[in-house]
Amino acid sequence: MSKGLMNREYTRREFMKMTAKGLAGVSLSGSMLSLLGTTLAQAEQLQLYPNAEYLLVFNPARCTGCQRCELNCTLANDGVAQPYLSRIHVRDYAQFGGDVTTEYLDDSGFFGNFSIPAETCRQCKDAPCMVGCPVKAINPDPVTGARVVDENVCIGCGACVNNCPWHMPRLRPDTGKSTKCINCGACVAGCPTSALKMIQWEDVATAMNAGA
Amino acid sequence: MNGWTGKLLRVNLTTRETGVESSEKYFGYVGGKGMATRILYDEVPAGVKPYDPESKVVMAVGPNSGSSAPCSGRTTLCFLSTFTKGNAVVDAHIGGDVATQLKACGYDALIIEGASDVPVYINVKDDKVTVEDAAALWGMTTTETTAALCDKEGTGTTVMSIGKAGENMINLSCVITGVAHCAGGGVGAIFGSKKLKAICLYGKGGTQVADPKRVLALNNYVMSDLMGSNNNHVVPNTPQSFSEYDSPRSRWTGHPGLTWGAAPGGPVDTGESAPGQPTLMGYRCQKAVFDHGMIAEKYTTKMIGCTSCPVRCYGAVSLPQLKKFGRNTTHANTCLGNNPYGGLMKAYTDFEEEGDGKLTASVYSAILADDLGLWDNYGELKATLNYFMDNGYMEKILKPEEYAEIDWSKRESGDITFIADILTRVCDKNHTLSTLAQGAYFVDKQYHDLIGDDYINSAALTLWSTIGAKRHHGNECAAQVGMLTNVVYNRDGMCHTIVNITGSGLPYHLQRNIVEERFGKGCLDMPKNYTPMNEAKARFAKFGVVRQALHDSFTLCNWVWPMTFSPRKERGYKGDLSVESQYFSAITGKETSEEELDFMAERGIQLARAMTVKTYGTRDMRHEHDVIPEYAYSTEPDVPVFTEGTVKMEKEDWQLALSMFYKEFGWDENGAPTRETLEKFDLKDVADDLEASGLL
Ligand code: SF4
Repeated sequence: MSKGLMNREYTRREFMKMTAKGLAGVSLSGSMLSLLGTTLAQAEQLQLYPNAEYLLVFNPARCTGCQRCELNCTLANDGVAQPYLSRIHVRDYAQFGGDVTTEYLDDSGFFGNFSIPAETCRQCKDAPCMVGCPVKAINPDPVTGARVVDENVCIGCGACVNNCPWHMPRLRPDTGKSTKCINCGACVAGCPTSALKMIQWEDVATAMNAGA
Repeated sequence: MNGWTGKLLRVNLTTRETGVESSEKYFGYVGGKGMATRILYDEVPAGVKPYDPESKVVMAVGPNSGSSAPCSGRTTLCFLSTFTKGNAVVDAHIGGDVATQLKACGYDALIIEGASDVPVYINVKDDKVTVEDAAALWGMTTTETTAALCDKEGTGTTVMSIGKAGENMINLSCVITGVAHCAGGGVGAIFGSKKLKAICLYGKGGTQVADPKRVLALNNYVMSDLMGSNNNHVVPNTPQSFSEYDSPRSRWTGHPGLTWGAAPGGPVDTGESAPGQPTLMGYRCQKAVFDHGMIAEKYTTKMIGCTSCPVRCYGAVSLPQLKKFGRNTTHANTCLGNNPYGGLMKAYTDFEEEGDGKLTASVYSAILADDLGLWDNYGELKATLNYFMDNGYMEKILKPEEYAEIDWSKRESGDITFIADILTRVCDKNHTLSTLAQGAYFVDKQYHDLIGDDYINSAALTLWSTIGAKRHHGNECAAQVGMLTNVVYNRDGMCHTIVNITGSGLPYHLQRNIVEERFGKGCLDMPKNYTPMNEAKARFAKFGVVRQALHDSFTLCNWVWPMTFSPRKERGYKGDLSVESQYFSAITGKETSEEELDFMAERGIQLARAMTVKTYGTRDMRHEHDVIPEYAYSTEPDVPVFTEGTVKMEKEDWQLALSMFYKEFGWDENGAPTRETLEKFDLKDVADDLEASGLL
């Protein structure tokens, strides 16, 4: 493991220790808050997705539901603007924040309090999508660490979709093969309100060391 | 296939049959408006009235819709006007997720025909299309309908629905999708006449593009170098570190210190988002504050808008004050949609702080109107209701018991339940108040003995034409140029190409220099200080509507496009008017020039004008259609025309303006397309049709 990778891994672990129970009550320095793009009060609701390569942050208060991330994700990865295939899921959460409850006017989503609890891939350590695949079509990428589908191996059984607690992988309607997030960053690059942020561990380390 | 899906979906509500056909023969119309207008021409014979079962609604998108291009989330609906003279062809435009989802389901257009006897909804899930029972939904508000259908069909379903206004076939009614995205023009009532309560869309497909990398590069170019804020205002509203200019009228309201004050978890600062920062541009438009004033800041949750749009022009507010009225406390919309009927009140009662009474009335009225699916016709309905109230006509037109049951004193005392008292009755076909929502043309006809010529000609109404069409925008924007942009429409013109230039926030001399380069000297006068008509203005006006038609066909949002200007000083603030054709080429794989694309868009305008001639049964558009009301000639009585301080029109000059505009389009002195012009646009069959009707 190179020195850079070790440092990244160290920072990731430290950060995860610090945020193990979410960000509520964690005393975050000014530089950390500005890196995360949030105020202290808002930090509580940030959705953090730390993976080997970087820290992905999603802020449901800043997301405006434009779904540009979904369009950019698929245009960049599939050559077609196809929101259904997107590896970040906004659309299914945008209107009602998920399932329609009887209290939907007070719930999240456009029809409620406008908070948009989108879901994206966590690149979990023991990723249920990866672990549960009967043909081992999903494996960590040696460079990025992202859990990546080999569509030549995938038999389209859908186990990964079912096993993922957030149902992040999608089966392509045309080939039936699974597809999921590869950490490419296309969603982040086109988000007009920086509701999505991809933060390098080096920057997290600097902010953590900067203190107050 | 790249860009288009190549498929039309047809749903017959009489037989409940559905079918798929090729859409290829309509590609010469680009898509959207052009495609839908042609389908309507091909399939709905002249003489059919909007509520006849033979009347159809065609919903269409284009190659750009859902492609990821900024502001490509618009859909055009084409149908017969319910509310203007002659019930001639109109189109309406809806945002939200509809365009992306129609494409994702695999269709360029949806043709709705026939009529059901019982309430139904159309359920489209890719190639699985069904007509389903909607008895349980009939009577529900649009919000309730959306929630019920999302619960049943899946939470991500895009629902377009009608409320009471549409169900009861009130001419001024709309179809609503998501929060407050609305297709007006009376289409809600046509849905109602077909007992069509809603349409559900959920697609797993997408928009194929020929060159994805080029599309992504164009997105970045547009968002970094060309796009400002809402209406493409390219300078901020307050001085900022990067800006050479600022303008208080600019909708680029975001700046350090101004927040989304009610954001969950605490305020989000809108900050500076200088050109070249596409990942911050969604903070430029704090539209709740722009529309309602500073009081709205602390109630603003965030900005929302249509799929794919980075501008985010919908100010989302959360008003606890509304709890006591027992309804939803949140709403999001833009411009007039943020305050459609608050102006029915004579006074406002504040709740918790000074000024929150007016804000609450505005938002309350917006929620109510959207739930009823009542369309404001760009303020005409409110103006009509006020006109009848203020001039003592209500007592004369309402039955005594109808008049007596309304507590009119609430209007003066600031009790906003007055708005609900009025609007719910407006949506009740059995109540005389509903006659005021027929559209100004029909209101004038029904009550002419009582109201004389004054109503239709009044400044209170501010129509652009006595056909009953509202001014949106007209002579208040670039004088004759703005007024002319309405002429091709059988409703309010909605052309934003010109007003986005005059409202851009750039100093006048910069605006003028950039547009004169293209349209010639004298095309753009000083604001409120205009000169007699000239040919450069006619060219400029034509460009305005051709681009609008292009956007409604391609599709793109004409509220932001075209990119005439840029926020970049190093470009001399000059935009790029070739971007649409660059997208067209990248998406479809057919290299197409700006001129070629404009020509295709103009085809739809030529066809719609020919259809209007046919529907009116006369070529004399000049005297039967393009007639501006008297107020337009008589505002500012003390200021002579063509001097500083007035945009009032002059009668001979308007006729000259029409002549020059007609000439630009290849129309005769009556304002009707000639055979030569129609044939130039491959519309020989349309010319033959007019000739057979004695109209050529
Ligand atoms: S691009 Fe950003 S603002 Fe838009 S939906 Fe995605 S996360 Fe939300």
